[in-house]
Amino acid sequence: MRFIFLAIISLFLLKGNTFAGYPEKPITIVVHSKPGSGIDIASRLISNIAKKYSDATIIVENKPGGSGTVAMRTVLGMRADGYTILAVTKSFISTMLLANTGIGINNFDWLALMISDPECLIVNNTTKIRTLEDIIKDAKQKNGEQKWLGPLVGGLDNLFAEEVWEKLNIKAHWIPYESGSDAIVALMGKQGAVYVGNPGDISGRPTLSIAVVAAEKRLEKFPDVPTFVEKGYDIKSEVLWRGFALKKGTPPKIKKYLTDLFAKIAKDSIWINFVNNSSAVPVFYDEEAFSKIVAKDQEKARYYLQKAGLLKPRKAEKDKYAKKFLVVLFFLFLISFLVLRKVKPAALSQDTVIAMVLFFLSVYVFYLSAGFPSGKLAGSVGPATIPQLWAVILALFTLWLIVKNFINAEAKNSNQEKNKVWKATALIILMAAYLVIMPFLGYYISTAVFLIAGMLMLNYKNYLVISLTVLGFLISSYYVIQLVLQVPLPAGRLFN
Amino acid sequence: MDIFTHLLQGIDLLLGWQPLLIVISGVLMGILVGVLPGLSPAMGVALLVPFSYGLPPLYALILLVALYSAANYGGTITAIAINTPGTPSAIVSTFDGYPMTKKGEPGRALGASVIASTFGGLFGTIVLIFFSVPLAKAALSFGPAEYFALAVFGLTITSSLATGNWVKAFIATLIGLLLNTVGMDPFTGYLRFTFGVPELADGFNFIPALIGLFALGEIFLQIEKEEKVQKGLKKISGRMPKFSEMWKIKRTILQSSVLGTLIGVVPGAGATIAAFIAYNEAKRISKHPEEFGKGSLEGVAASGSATSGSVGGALVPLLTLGIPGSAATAVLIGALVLHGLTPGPELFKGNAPIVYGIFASMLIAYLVMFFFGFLGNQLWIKIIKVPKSILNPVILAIAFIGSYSVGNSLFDVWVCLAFGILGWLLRRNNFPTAPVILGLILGFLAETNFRRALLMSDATIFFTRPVSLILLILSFLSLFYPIMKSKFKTINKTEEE
Repeated sequence: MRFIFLAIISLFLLKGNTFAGYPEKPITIVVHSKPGSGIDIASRLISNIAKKYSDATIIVENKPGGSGTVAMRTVLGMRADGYTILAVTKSFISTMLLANTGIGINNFDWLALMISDPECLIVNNTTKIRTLEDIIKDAKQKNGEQKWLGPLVGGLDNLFAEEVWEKLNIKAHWIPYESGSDAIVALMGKQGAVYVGNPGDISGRPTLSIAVVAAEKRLEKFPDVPTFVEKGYDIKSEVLWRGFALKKGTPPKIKKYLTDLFAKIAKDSIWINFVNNSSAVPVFYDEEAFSKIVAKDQEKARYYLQKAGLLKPRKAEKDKYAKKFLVVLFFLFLISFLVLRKVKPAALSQDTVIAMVLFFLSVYVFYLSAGFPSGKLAGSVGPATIPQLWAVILALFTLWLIVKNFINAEAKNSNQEKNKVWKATALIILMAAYLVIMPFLGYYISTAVFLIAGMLMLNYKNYLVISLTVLGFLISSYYVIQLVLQVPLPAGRLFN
Repeated sequence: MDIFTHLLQGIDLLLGWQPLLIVISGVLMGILVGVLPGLSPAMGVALLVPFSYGLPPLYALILLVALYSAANYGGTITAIAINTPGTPSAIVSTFDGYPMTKKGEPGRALGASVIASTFGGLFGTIVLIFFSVPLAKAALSFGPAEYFALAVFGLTITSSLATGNWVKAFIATLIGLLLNTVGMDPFTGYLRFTFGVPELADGFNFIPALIGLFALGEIFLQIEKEEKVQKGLKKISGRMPKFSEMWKIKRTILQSSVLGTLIGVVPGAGATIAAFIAYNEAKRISKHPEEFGKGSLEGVAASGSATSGSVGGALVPLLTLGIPGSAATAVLIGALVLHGLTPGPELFKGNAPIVYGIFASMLIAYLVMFFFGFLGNQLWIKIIKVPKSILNPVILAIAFIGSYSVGNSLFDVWVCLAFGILGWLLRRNNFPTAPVILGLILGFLAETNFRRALLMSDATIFFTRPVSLILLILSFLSLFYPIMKSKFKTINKTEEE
């Protein structure tokens, strides 16, 4: 048993302690979306193709959340040693401008731009609105009520729509969906006039067609689709790009190594086929060209975000009173608790206490929501309405429960089992401790400690069974979870 | 019949040891992914995509589809055995499956689950083969008003999830709904109730919350009531359900398969909502609704057949419209593109053998799943027999892996622990925890579609569109029917006394 332990430990030590040329350990590509998204598959394909051109091992790690913020933060939290690459898309520019996280384009070295996907306006060809002229005519007729579908407000498709509206001199509503594909479904269901997307969005969907594309010249794959320029509008080329970036300050030698690698992959036939299949254009721009594109796009995004009224500071004003209000509520809770205990102690079951806590929490939620800015696009129902609705209903139900318990108090039995509460609490504390030591000791050691402590705590005394179970669990988590399912279990700072 | 010849050709493509081996390994991987909490069917498919790249397109796709087909069933195994739903849709299997295990009948519950899942899966596949075109058209007519009405209908299930005190059930639902509003407002991008914690920007991850509420909450409660459990522990029996037992509940299984398949077709609704609704309807038609929540064979069967039925349903919009019907099918679209295929109706024209090969492979996959399900049940029963003092820490460690692997982040594990404490507090005071999950699932669907409908039109839209109106009327009835029924019962009882 000790042997395998030592073997596992030494495995981690080996990772950090050899010094040779780059790359001497696996390189991780951090992807901001869940497994299976476009950029995730592209990154996994790259890790496959890279084996042909170098002996570097590339692993893909998904860090979804916050429209890319979590992934960016992950990469910036690592050393600038070229072992962590960020898969980037143009949408990161909006995220950086909107999220107020202090992360900007200057935090990264924009290593390589690999995929260029032109923006276009997509229509449902079973409706009357099929061409750019139809869109403009319909928009003028509906006088601002025309519906454009797409993902999040403030995202790059939304900003492109703002640009189109400005240049075409029309007005329309932006109806946001959770994702591009949800919006496409809505367009197929004729719930709006235009979807802002990319040529790949119509493939396999015969009822959809591209009205116009924002490119310098017509696309090879869609020779019948006109460009904005042909139609006399000053929207030249607008692309959704995807590529790779590093944390700022990565040594030039490493950057050169990776640039060469990506340049080779960009010319690989498997890669070119893959990108073509998704109706995008395989390209390669090195750091110098890529950085210029990023800077230009940021300027443009800033302009249209401002125009859409999305760049204003949106911090709620009431925030400063929030804490004071919470204190007031806490005292109200205490007072009502004490009053109840005086008047009718039998009514003060744990039920009632939970209901009281929930009641005051819902009051607090209601108060906090009142401070939410309604925003330009909120229309009649802003971000505050639904939380306030739930809060009101919850308050009513909890009041009901409190009153009911108050009336029926006598019927209730007094406290039954208090004996084992401490044991459950101790297990919760043990689990919390497990999570606290994990970042330092790593997954394997802390799990072993946790399992042994847990079993002993629950009065299991057969040490042989304990050690065999723990060992079996660790070995199977290494093989099944880490190797086969590729979950990067925490390695622990002690060994890094 | 054109379809039959195509299907026979499809089966023909799969004869041979290689494709059969691929289907078997897909099913086994699917069950494994399903059993491990935190690894959803979508993640399982995504993890296999790069592996499948080296295979010819047909083989790659049958591998992925076989995995997807079996994963939902896999989730019900841990739900029944240790109250830990392995996939989100398996929560519903905990309602009755785990009580059956506690009664010492895990064999009956696991057996019912594999039989019902196989039936539901086969049913969904047959619907997919024969009725996908009209169903896909119907799914497209679902606009924001209809989605909102569906969410409201789903929320009314609360009243039938209440075992006893329905005020407490509603309080639990509202806790879920309020927790669901944490995170970025989908319309304005404003961060609600995040208190400056960046990880909360996308709200609570669903899977850690689920694992916490069910698995952790149950363990903490079990330890608290340890002595009682030990006294009340019955002999664990591996006996499978008899054929006559299953035949008695054939109507439940068929109805749940239909509901699962149909709800699976609607993009964005998915297996979990399907399972909840099927459970609710099964309780409504049951002759013994009072057994639901306490170990009803019908409840287990309803959940199993609905979740597996939704797989075939979710593939309908993928193959006919090129749009994903669930998270896992979204990944399948990526896989199709990777293999140079275009998802959507063109597949039937240009690559009919592949499409029918997939259909045939699903039929085979469910039979394989049935076989391994039956075989595996004895293994799961052995695991249940492991002493709790060994099993519980191991479940906690599995809960760690499950929550962690969702986003490779320790924060999610803390969320899991917090929800575990919440689940414990609620349970020990007889608040049901299932409604919390219902609120977490449906809150987002309800809010975004409510607001989107109002962006597109005024409030009359909810009552002028027929599907939405019908669903709202049904919700109203379904909300008050169980409450009324229980009221009448108590009135009758008091009168009798």
